Amino acid sequence: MHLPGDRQAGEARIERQVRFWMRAYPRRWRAERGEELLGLVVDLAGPDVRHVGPRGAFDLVRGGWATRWREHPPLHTWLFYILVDRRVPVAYRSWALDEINGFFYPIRRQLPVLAVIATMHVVYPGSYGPPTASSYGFWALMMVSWLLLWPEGNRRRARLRHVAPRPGEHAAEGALVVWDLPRERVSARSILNWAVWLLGTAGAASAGTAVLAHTVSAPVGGRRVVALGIFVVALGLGGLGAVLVRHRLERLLGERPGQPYRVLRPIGGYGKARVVFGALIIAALDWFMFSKPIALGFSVLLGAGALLLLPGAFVVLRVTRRSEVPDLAGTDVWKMAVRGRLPAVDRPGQGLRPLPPAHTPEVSNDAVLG
Amino acid sequence: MTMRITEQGYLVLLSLAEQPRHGYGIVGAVLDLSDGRTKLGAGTLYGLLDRMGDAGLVEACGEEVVDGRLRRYYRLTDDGSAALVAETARLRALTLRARLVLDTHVAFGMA
Repeated sequence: MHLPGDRQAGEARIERQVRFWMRAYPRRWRAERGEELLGLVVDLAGPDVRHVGPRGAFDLVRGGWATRWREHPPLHTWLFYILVDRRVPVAYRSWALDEINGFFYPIRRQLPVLAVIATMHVVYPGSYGPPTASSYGFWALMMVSWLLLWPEGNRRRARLRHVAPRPGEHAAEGALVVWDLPRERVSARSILNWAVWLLGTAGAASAGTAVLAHTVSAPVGGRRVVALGIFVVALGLGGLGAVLVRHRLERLLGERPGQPYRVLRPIGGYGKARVVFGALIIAALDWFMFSKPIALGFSVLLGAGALLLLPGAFVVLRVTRRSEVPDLAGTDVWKMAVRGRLPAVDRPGQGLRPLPPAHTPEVSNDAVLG
Repeated sequence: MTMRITEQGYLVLLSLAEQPRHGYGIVGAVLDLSDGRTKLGAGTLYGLLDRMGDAGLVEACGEEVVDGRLRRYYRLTDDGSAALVAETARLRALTLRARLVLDTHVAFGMA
Protein backbone atom coordinates (compact mmCIF):
# COMPACT_ATOMS: atom_id res chain seq x y z
CA MET A 1 0.00 0.00 0.00
CA HIS A 2 1.34 3.43 -0.94
CA LEU A 3 1.01 6.59 1.13
CA PRO A 4 -0.40 9.70 -0.63
CA GLY A 5 3.07 11.31 -0.76
CA ASP A 6 4.56 8.18 -2.35
CA ARG A 7 1.72 8.12 -4.82
CA GLN A 8 2.29 11.75 -5.83
CA ALA A 9 6.01 11.14 -6.23
CA GLY A 10 5.26 8.05 -8.32
CA GLU A 11 2.86 10.01 -10.54
CA ALA A 12 5.38 12.83 -10.94
CA ARG A 13 8.03 10.29 -11.97
CA ILE A 14 5.83 8.55 -14.50
CA GLU A 15 4.75 11.95 -15.85
CA ARG A 16 8.38 12.93 -16.42
CA GLN A 17 9.02 9.66 -18.20
CA VAL A 18 5.94 10.02 -20.40
CA ARG A 19 6.93 13.58 -21.34
CA PHE A 20 10.37 12.29 -22.28
CA TRP A 21 9.06 9.53 -24.55
CA MET A 22 6.38 11.86 -25.95
CA ARG A 23 9.16 13.88 -27.57
CA ALA A 24 8.84 11.37 -30.40
CA TYR A 25 5.65 13.24 -31.37
CA PRO A 26 5.81 16.46 -33.43
CA ARG A 27 6.01 19.65 -31.42
CA ARG A 28 2.60 21.04 -32.43
CA TRP A 29 0.93 17.69 -31.82
CA ARG A 30 2.33 17.69 -28.29
CA ALA A 31 1.08 21.22 -27.73
CA GLU A 32 -2.45 20.27 -28.84
CA ARG A 33 -2.83 16.72 -27.56
CA GLY A 34 0.11 16.08 -25.25
CA GLU A 35 -1.75 16.62 -21.96
CA GLU A 36 -4.52 14.31 -23.11
CA LEU A 37 -2.08 11.57 -24.07
CA LEU A 38 -0.19 12.02 -20.81
CA GLY A 39 -3.39 11.63 -18.79
CA LEU A 40 -4.30 8.45 -20.66
CA VAL A 41 -0.90 6.84 -20.14
CA VAL A 42 -0.99 7.62 -16.41
CA ASP A 43 -4.57 6.34 -16.12
CA LEU A 44 -3.70 3.17 -17.99
CA ALA A 45 -0.64 2.59 -15.82
CA GLY A 46 -2.80 2.53 -12.69
CA PRO A 47 -2.04 3.84 -9.21
CA ASP A 48 0.66 1.32 -8.29
CA VAL A 49 2.80 1.56 -11.42
CA ARG A 50 5.60 4.13 -11.17
CA HIS A 51 7.50 3.59 -14.41
CA VAL A 52 6.75 3.56 -18.10
CA GLY A 53 7.79 0.05 -19.01
CA PRO A 54 9.61 -0.89 -22.23
CA ARG A 55 6.31 -1.78 -23.90
CA GLY A 56 4.73 1.58 -22.99
CA ALA A 57 7.83 3.48 -24.12
CA PHE A 58 7.92 1.56 -27.40
CA ASP A 59 4.22 2.27 -27.96
CA LEU A 60 4.76 6.02 -27.48
CA VAL A 61 7.85 6.15 -29.67
CA ARG A 62 6.19 4.11 -32.41
CA GLY A 63 3.06 6.28 -32.22
CA GLY A 64 5.14 9.47 -32.28
CA TRP A 65 7.22 8.49 -35.28
CA ALA A 66 4.15 7.19 -37.10
CA THR A 67 2.56 10.62 -36.55
CA ARG A 68 5.70 12.35 -37.83
CA TRP A 69 5.75 10.08 -40.87
CA ARG A 70 2.06 10.75 -41.57
CA GLU A 71 2.51 14.52 -41.38
CA HIS A 72 5.75 14.57 -43.39
CA PRO A 73 5.42 15.81 -46.99
CA PRO A 74 6.20 13.38 -49.82
CA LEU A 75 9.79 13.10 -51.00
CA HIS A 76 9.52 15.38 -54.02
CA THR A 77 7.80 18.13 -51.98
CA TRP A 78 10.40 17.82 -49.25
CA LEU A 79 13.28 17.92 -51.77
CA PHE A 80 11.98 21.11 -53.42
CA TYR A 81 11.50 22.61 -49.95
CA ILE A 82 14.94 21.74 -48.65
CA LEU A 83 16.88 22.39 -51.88
CA VAL A 84 15.25 25.50 -53.34
CA ASP A 85 13.11 26.66 -50.38
CA ARG A 86 9.87 26.14 -52.31
CA ARG A 87 6.71 26.83 -50.33
CA VAL A 88 5.01 23.67 -49.06
CA PRO A 89 1.33 22.93 -49.86
CA VAL A 90 -1.34 23.90 -47.33
CA ALA A 91 -1.62 20.34 -45.97
CA TYR A 92 1.98 20.46 -44.72
CA ARG A 93 2.02 23.88 -43.08
CA SER A 94 1.86 22.41 -39.58
CA TRP A 95 4.80 20.24 -40.48
CA ALA A 96 6.66 23.28 -41.85
CA LEU A 97 6.06 25.22 -38.65
CA ASP A 98 7.47 22.38 -36.56
CA GLU A 99 10.37 22.03 -38.95
CA ILE A 100 11.26 25.74 -38.78
CA ASN A 101 10.90 25.93 -34.99
CA GLY A 102 12.94 22.76 -34.52
CA PHE A 103 16.29 22.87 -32.75
CA PHE A 104 18.15 21.29 -35.68
CA TYR A 105 16.56 23.53 -38.34
CA PRO A 106 19.82 25.46 -38.99
CA ILE A 107 21.62 22.19 -39.75
CA ARG A 108 18.79 20.99 -42.00
CA ARG A 109 19.09 24.24 -43.98
CA GLN A 110 22.72 23.30 -44.70
CA LEU A 111 21.75 19.92 -46.16
CA PRO A 112 22.23 21.05 -49.80
CA VAL A 113 25.80 22.20 -49.04
CA LEU A 114 26.51 19.04 -47.06
CA ALA A 115 25.09 16.95 -49.91
CA VAL A 116 27.44 18.63 -52.42
CA ILE A 117 30.44 18.04 -50.14
CA ALA A 118 29.46 14.40 -49.57
CA THR A 119 29.04 13.93 -53.35
CA MET A 120 32.48 15.42 -54.00
CA HIS A 121 33.97 12.94 -51.51
CA VAL A 122 32.25 10.05 -53.25
CA VAL A 123 33.10 11.17 -56.81
CA TYR A 124 36.71 12.19 -56.05
CA PRO A 125 37.68 10.01 -53.10
CA GLY A 126 41.42 10.38 -53.69
CA SER A 127 41.40 14.18 -53.61
CA TYR A 128 40.34 14.49 -50.00
CA GLY A 129 41.98 11.56 -48.26
CA PRO A 130 40.52 9.64 -45.34
CA PRO A 131 38.68 11.64 -42.66
CA THR A 132 40.82 12.58 -39.67
CA ALA A 133 40.05 13.60 -36.10
CA SER A 134 40.64 17.24 -37.12
CA SER A 135 38.09 17.03 -39.94
CA TYR A 136 35.51 15.51 -37.59
CA GLY A 137 36.29 18.25 -35.07
CA PHE A 138 35.92 20.91 -37.76
CA TRP A 139 32.49 19.64 -38.78
CA ALA A 140 31.37 19.30 -35.18
CA LEU A 141 32.41 22.92 -34.61
CA MET A 142 30.59 24.00 -37.77
CA MET A 143 27.39 22.30 -36.64
CA VAL A 144 27.51 23.85 -33.18
CA SER A 145 28.16 27.23 -34.84
CA TRP A 146 25.16 26.80 -37.15
CA LEU A 147 22.96 25.84 -34.22
CA LEU A 148 23.98 28.74 -32.00
CA LEU A 149 24.73 31.53 -34.44
CA TRP A 150 21.76 31.07 -36.80
CA PRO A 151 19.93 34.42 -36.83
CA GLU A 152 16.43 34.30 -35.36
CA GLY A 153 15.33 36.61 -38.20
CA ASN A 154 15.90 33.74 -40.66
CA ARG A 155 13.41 31.58 -38.79
CA ARG A 156 10.91 34.44 -38.67
CA ARG A 157 11.16 35.01 -42.42
CA ALA A 158 10.88 31.26 -43.05
CA ARG A 159 7.69 31.10 -40.93
CA LEU A 160 6.17 33.99 -42.89
CA ARG A 161 7.10 32.34 -46.18
CA HIS A 162 6.02 28.77 -45.49
CA VAL A 163 3.27 28.98 -42.88
CA ALA A 164 1.32 32.21 -43.46
CA PRO A 165 -1.51 32.04 -46.02
CA ARG A 166 -1.13 34.15 -49.16
CA PRO A 167 -3.67 36.89 -50.06
CA GLY A 168 -6.93 35.33 -51.21
CA GLU A 169 -6.28 31.97 -49.58
CA HIS A 170 -8.91 30.55 -47.26
CA ALA A 171 -7.85 30.78 -43.62
CA ALA A 172 -9.94 28.84 -41.13
CA GLU A 173 -10.43 29.90 -37.54
CA GLY A 174 -7.26 29.20 -35.60
CA ALA A 175 -5.03 29.20 -38.73
CA LEU A 176 -1.83 31.18 -38.32
CA VAL A 177 -1.92 34.47 -40.22
CA VAL A 178 0.36 37.50 -40.33
CA TRP A 179 -0.21 40.28 -37.85
CA ASP A 180 1.61 43.48 -37.07
CA LEU A 181 3.26 42.92 -33.73
CA PRO A 182 5.44 45.11 -31.52
CA ARG A 183 9.10 44.94 -32.52
CA GLU A 184 11.09 42.85 -30.06
CA ARG A 185 14.48 44.21 -29.06
CA VAL A 186 17.09 43.10 -26.56
CA SER A 187 17.48 45.60 -23.73
CA ALA A 188 20.73 47.55 -23.60
CA ARG A 189 21.52 46.70 -19.98
CA SER A 190 21.05 43.00 -20.52
CA ILE A 191 23.18 42.78 -23.65
CA LEU A 192 25.90 45.10 -22.35
CA ASN A 193 26.47 42.96 -19.26
CA TRP A 194 27.27 40.03 -21.50
CA ALA A 195 29.22 42.14 -24.03
CA VAL A 196 31.53 43.48 -21.32
CA TRP A 197 32.06 39.94 -20.05
CA LEU A 198 32.87 38.64 -23.55
CA LEU A 199 35.20 41.51 -24.46
CA GLY A 200 36.97 41.21 -21.12
CA THR A 201 37.49 37.47 -21.63
CA ALA A 202 38.80 37.99 -25.16
CA GLY A 203 41.16 40.78 -24.10
CA ALA A 204 42.51 38.93 -21.06
CA ALA A 205 42.93 35.63 -22.94
CA SER A 206 44.76 37.29 -25.83
CA ALA A 207 47.03 39.32 -23.57
CA GLY A 208 47.81 36.19 -21.56
CA THR A 209 48.64 34.31 -24.73
CA ALA A 210 50.92 37.11 -25.95
CA VAL A 211 52.84 36.96 -22.70
CA LEU A 212 53.12 33.18 -22.43
CA ALA A 213 53.22 31.96 -26.05
CA HIS A 214 56.31 30.10 -27.31
CA THR A 215 56.71 32.11 -30.48
CA VAL A 216 55.62 35.56 -31.53
CA SER A 217 55.69 36.27 -35.26
CA ALA A 218 53.82 38.05 -38.02
CA PRO A 219 52.18 40.53 -38.07
CA VAL A 220 54.04 41.87 -35.07
CA GLY A 221 57.59 41.28 -36.30
CA GLY A 222 58.50 38.45 -33.97
CA ARG A 223 58.79 40.59 -30.86
CA ARG A 224 56.59 39.93 -27.86
CA VAL A 225 56.87 43.49 -26.68
CA VAL A 226 55.34 44.72 -29.93
CA ALA A 227 52.28 42.55 -29.34
CA LEU A 228 51.90 43.85 -25.82
CA GLY A 229 52.45 47.38 -27.09
CA ILE A 230 49.60 46.94 -29.55
CA PHE A 231 47.33 45.85 -26.69
CA VAL A 232 48.30 48.87 -24.59
CA VAL A 233 47.69 51.22 -27.52
CA ALA A 234 44.31 49.55 -28.23
CA LEU A 235 43.30 49.90 -24.60
CA GLY A 236 44.39 53.56 -24.62
CA LEU A 237 42.46 54.30 -27.81
CA GLY A 238 39.51 52.44 -26.31
CA GLY A 239 39.71 54.71 -23.26
CA LEU A 240 39.66 57.80 -25.48
CA GLY A 241 36.77 56.31 -27.40
CA ALA A 242 34.96 55.70 -24.12
CA VAL A 243 35.18 59.42 -23.28
CA LEU A 244 33.69 60.27 -26.69
CA VAL A 245 30.99 57.60 -26.30
CA ARG A 246 30.01 58.90 -22.87
CA HIS A 247 29.77 62.44 -24.21
CA ARG A 248 27.59 61.29 -27.13
CA LEU A 249 25.31 59.23 -24.92
CA GLU A 250 24.76 62.00 -22.40
CA ARG A 251 23.92 64.39 -25.27
CA LEU A 252 21.62 62.05 -27.21
CA LEU A 253 19.86 60.04 -24.50
CA GLY A 254 17.44 62.84 -23.67
CA GLU A 255 16.63 63.50 -27.34
CA ARG A 256 15.64 59.97 -28.24
CA PRO A 257 12.22 59.57 -29.86
CA GLY A 258 9.56 57.48 -28.11
CA GLN A 259 9.19 53.84 -29.17
CA PRO A 260 5.48 52.97 -29.20
CA TYR A 261 5.92 49.79 -31.26
CA ARG A 262 8.66 48.22 -29.19
CA VAL A 263 8.86 45.45 -26.60
CA LEU A 264 12.12 45.03 -24.72
CA ARG A 265 13.29 41.67 -23.48
CA PRO A 266 16.44 40.52 -21.71
CA ILE A 267 19.00 38.52 -23.63
CA GLY A 268 17.57 35.02 -24.06
CA GLY A 269 19.01 31.56 -23.56
CA TYR A 270 20.22 31.43 -27.17
CA GLY A 271 21.93 34.83 -26.79
CA LYS A 272 23.71 33.72 -23.63
CA ALA A 273 24.73 30.46 -25.28
CA ARG A 274 26.17 32.47 -28.19
CA VAL A 275 28.24 34.62 -25.85
CA VAL A 276 29.55 31.60 -23.96
CA PHE A 277 30.27 29.83 -27.25
CA GLY A 278 32.13 32.93 -28.51
CA ALA A 279 34.18 33.06 -25.31
CA LEU A 280 34.99 29.34 -25.58
CA ILE A 281 36.10 29.73 -29.20
CA ILE A 282 38.32 32.67 -28.31
CA ALA A 283 39.79 30.80 -25.36
CA ALA A 284 40.36 27.72 -27.56
CA LEU A 285 42.09 29.78 -30.25
CA ASP A 286 44.28 31.46 -27.66
CA TRP A 287 45.13 28.12 -26.06
CA PHE A 288 45.96 26.73 -29.50
CA MET A 289 48.27 29.64 -30.24
CA PHE A 290 49.79 29.35 -26.79
CA SER A 291 50.44 25.64 -26.91
CA LYS A 292 51.77 25.50 -30.49
CA PRO A 293 54.78 27.41 -31.76
CA ILE A 294 52.80 29.31 -34.39
CA ALA A 295 52.11 32.90 -35.28
CA LEU A 296 50.23 35.05 -32.82
CA GLY A 297 48.75 37.27 -35.54
CA PHE A 298 45.11 36.36 -35.05
CA SER A 299 45.36 36.47 -31.30
CA VAL A 300 46.86 39.97 -31.46
CA LEU A 301 44.13 41.22 -33.79
CA LEU A 302 41.42 39.63 -31.65
CA GLY A 303 42.81 40.98 -28.40
CA ALA A 304 43.39 44.45 -29.83
CA GLY A 305 39.82 44.61 -31.13
CA ALA A 306 38.40 43.46 -27.80
CA LEU A 307 40.51 45.92 -25.79
CA LEU A 308 39.54 48.73 -28.16
CA LEU A 309 35.85 48.13 -27.52
CA LEU A 310 35.98 47.13 -23.83
CA PRO A 311 36.30 50.58 -22.19
CA GLY A 312 33.48 51.99 -24.32
CA ALA A 313 31.21 49.05 -23.53
CA PHE A 314 31.97 49.38 -19.82
CA VAL A 315 31.23 53.12 -19.84
CA VAL A 316 27.99 52.62 -21.77
CA LEU A 317 26.92 49.95 -19.29
CA ARG A 318 27.48 52.33 -16.39
CA VAL A 319 25.60 55.16 -18.12
CA THR A 320 22.61 52.95 -18.95
CA ARG A 321 22.52 51.62 -15.38
CA ARG A 322 22.45 55.14 -13.96
CA SER A 323 19.95 56.75 -16.32
CA GLU A 324 16.18 56.24 -16.36
CA VAL A 325 15.80 54.80 -19.83
CA PRO A 326 13.34 51.92 -19.59
CA ASP A 327 12.98 51.40 -23.36
CA LEU A 328 16.65 51.59 -24.32
CA ALA A 329 17.66 48.74 -26.63
CA GLY A 330 21.12 47.50 -27.48
CA THR A 331 20.71 48.72 -31.04
CA ASP A 332 19.97 52.27 -29.78
CA VAL A 333 23.19 52.29 -27.81
CA TRP A 334 25.16 51.15 -30.85
CA LYS A 335 23.67 53.89 -33.01
CA MET A 336 24.19 56.66 -30.48
CA ALA A 337 27.57 55.61 -29.11
CA VAL A 338 29.31 54.41 -32.28
CA ARG A 339 27.61 56.40 -35.02
CA GLY A 340 26.64 59.45 -33.00
CA ARG A 341 23.08 59.43 -34.37
CA LEU A 342 19.65 59.27 -32.82
CA PRO A 343 17.90 55.91 -33.31
CA ALA A 344 14.87 55.84 -35.61
CA VAL A 345 11.39 54.95 -34.36
CA ASP A 346 10.85 51.21 -34.72
CA ARG A 347 8.12 50.13 -37.10
CA PRO A 348 5.89 47.24 -36.04
CA GLY A 349 7.30 43.83 -36.87
CA GLN A 350 5.43 40.95 -38.46
CA GLY A 351 4.60 37.70 -36.79
CA LEU A 352 2.11 34.83 -36.87
CA ARG A 353 -0.94 34.58 -34.65
CA PRO A 354 -4.00 32.33 -34.77
CA LEU A 355 -6.95 33.85 -36.63
CA PRO A 356 -9.68 34.69 -34.09
CA PRO A 357 -13.29 33.55 -34.75
CA ALA A 358 -14.61 37.05 -35.54
CA HIS A 359 -12.56 37.39 -38.72
CA THR A 360 -13.84 36.66 -42.18
CA PRO A 361 -12.51 33.44 -43.71
CA GLU A 362 -10.81 35.24 -46.61
CA VAL A 363 -7.47 36.73 -45.63
CA SER A 364 -7.29 40.36 -46.70
CA ASN A 365 -4.36 41.69 -48.68
CA ASP A 366 -3.62 44.15 -45.88
CA ALA A 367 -3.29 41.44 -43.27
CA VAL A 368 -0.97 39.18 -45.22
CA LEU A 369 2.33 40.61 -46.27
CA GLY A 370 4.58 37.57 -45.87
CA MET B 1 -10.13 10.85 -47.38
CA THR B 2 -10.82 7.11 -47.03
CA MET B 3 -8.97 4.74 -44.77
CA ARG B 4 -8.74 1.01 -44.51
CA ILE B 5 -10.44 -0.07 -41.32
CA THR B 6 -8.33 -2.50 -39.33
CA GLU B 7 -9.66 -4.72 -36.56
CA GLN B 8 -8.44 -2.24 -33.94
CA GLY B 9 -10.01 0.64 -35.87
CA TYR B 10 -13.27 -1.26 -36.14
CA LEU B 11 -13.34 -1.87 -32.40
CA VAL B 12 -12.68 1.83 -31.72
CA LEU B 13 -15.55 2.84 -34.03
CA LEU B 14 -17.78 0.27 -32.37
CA SER B 15 -16.89 1.59 -28.91
CA LEU B 16 -17.95 5.08 -30.00
CA ALA B 17 -21.23 3.89 -31.54
CA GLU B 18 -22.84 3.58 -28.12
CA GLN B 19 -21.81 6.94 -26.71
CA PRO B 20 -19.03 9.55 -26.89
CA ARG B 21 -15.99 8.40 -24.91
CA HIS B 22 -12.60 9.73 -23.81
CA GLY B 23 -9.37 7.84 -24.43
CA TYR B 24 -9.48 5.77 -21.24
CA GLY B 25 -13.14 4.92 -21.90
CA ILE B 26 -12.33 3.79 -25.44
CA VAL B 27 -9.51 1.52 -24.25
CA GLY B 28 -11.85 -0.06 -21.68
CA ALA B 29 -14.69 -0.48 -24.15
CA VAL B 30 -12.40 -2.04 -26.75
CA LEU B 31 -11.11 -4.47 -24.13
CA ASP B 32 -14.70 -5.50 -23.33
CA LEU B 33 -15.79 -5.70 -26.97
CA SER B 34 -12.83 -7.88 -27.88
CA ASP B 35 -13.41 -10.13 -24.88
CA GLY B 36 -10.09 -9.08 -23.39
CA ARG B 37 -8.04 -9.83 -26.52
CA THR B 38 -7.29 -6.26 -27.69
CA LYS B 39 -5.62 -3.95 -25.21
CA LEU B 40 -4.83 -0.69 -26.97
CA GLY B 41 -1.73 1.27 -25.96
CA ALA B 42 -1.98 5.06 -25.72
CA GLY B 43 0.21 5.61 -28.78
CA THR B 44 -1.77 3.13 -30.84
CA LEU B 45 -5.10 4.66 -29.82
CA TYR B 46 -4.08 8.21 -30.67
CA GLY B 47 -2.65 7.08 -34.00
CA LEU B 48 -6.04 5.54 -34.80
CA LEU B 49 -7.95 8.62 -33.60
CA ASP B 50 -5.71 10.91 -35.67
CA ARG B 51 -6.25 8.89 -38.83
CA MET B 52 -9.97 8.52 -38.23
CA GLY B 53 -10.20 12.24 -37.53
CA ASP B 54 -8.37 13.03 -40.79
CA ALA B 55 -10.76 10.66 -42.61
CA GLY B 56 -13.76 12.39 -41.01
CA LEU B 57 -14.95 9.29 -39.16
CA VAL B 58 -14.63 10.65 -35.61
CA GLU B 59 -14.49 14.12 -34.07
CA ALA B 60 -13.75 15.65 -30.69
CA CYS B 61 -16.91 16.73 -28.91
CA GLY B 62 -15.85 18.20 -25.59
CA GLU B 63 -13.38 17.89 -22.80
CA GLU B 64 -13.20 17.84 -19.03
CA VAL B 65 -10.51 17.92 -16.39
CA VAL B 66 -10.58 15.03 -13.93
CA ASP B 67 -8.01 14.94 -11.09
CA GLY B 68 -6.02 17.60 -12.92
CA ARG B 69 -5.88 15.58 -16.12
CA LEU B 70 -7.42 16.58 -19.43
CA ARG B 71 -9.91 14.17 -20.96
CA ARG B 72 -11.18 14.85 -24.45
CA TYR B 73 -14.30 13.10 -25.67
CA TYR B 74 -14.72 11.69 -29.16
CA ARG B 75 -17.83 10.68 -31.07
CA LEU B 76 -18.70 9.15 -34.40
CA THR B 77 -19.55 11.44 -37.29
CA ASP B 78 -22.22 10.54 -39.84
CA ASP B 79 -19.47 9.25 -42.13
CA GLY B 80 -18.08 7.25 -39.21
CA SER B 81 -21.47 5.66 -38.53
CA ALA B 82 -21.86 4.83 -42.21
CA ALA B 83 -18.36 3.32 -42.33
CA LEU B 84 -19.13 1.25 -39.22
CA VAL B 85 -22.38 -0.06 -40.72
CA ALA B 86 -20.65 -0.88 -44.01
CA GLU B 87 -17.75 -2.64 -42.27
CA THR B 88 -20.16 -4.62 -40.09
CA ALA B 89 -22.08 -5.71 -43.20
CA ARG B 90 -18.81 -6.73 -44.86
CA LEU B 91 -17.81 -8.76 -41.80
CA ARG B 92 -21.27 -10.36 -41.64
CA ALA B 93 -21.01 -11.36 -45.31
CA LEU B 94 -17.51 -12.68 -44.68
CA THR B 95 -18.79 -14.68 -41.71
CA LEU B 96 -21.54 -16.19 -43.84
CA ARG B 97 -19.07 -17.15 -46.56
CA ALA B 98 -16.69 -18.56 -43.95
CA ARG B 99 -19.48 -20.64 -42.44
CA LEU B 100 -20.38 -21.95 -45.89
CA VAL B 101 -16.76 -22.91 -46.56
CA LEU B 102 -16.40 -24.56 -43.19
CA ASP B 103 -19.69 -26.42 -43.52
CA THR B 104 -18.65 -27.72 -46.93
CA HIS B 105 -15.19 -28.62 -45.65
CA VAL B 106 -16.61 -30.42 -42.63
CA ALA B 107 -19.15 -32.16 -44.87
CA PHE B 108 -16.37 -33.43 -47.20
CA GLY B 109 -14.24 -34.31 -44.20
CA MET B 110 -17.00 -36.46 -42.80
CA ALA B 111 -17.74 -38.12 -46.10
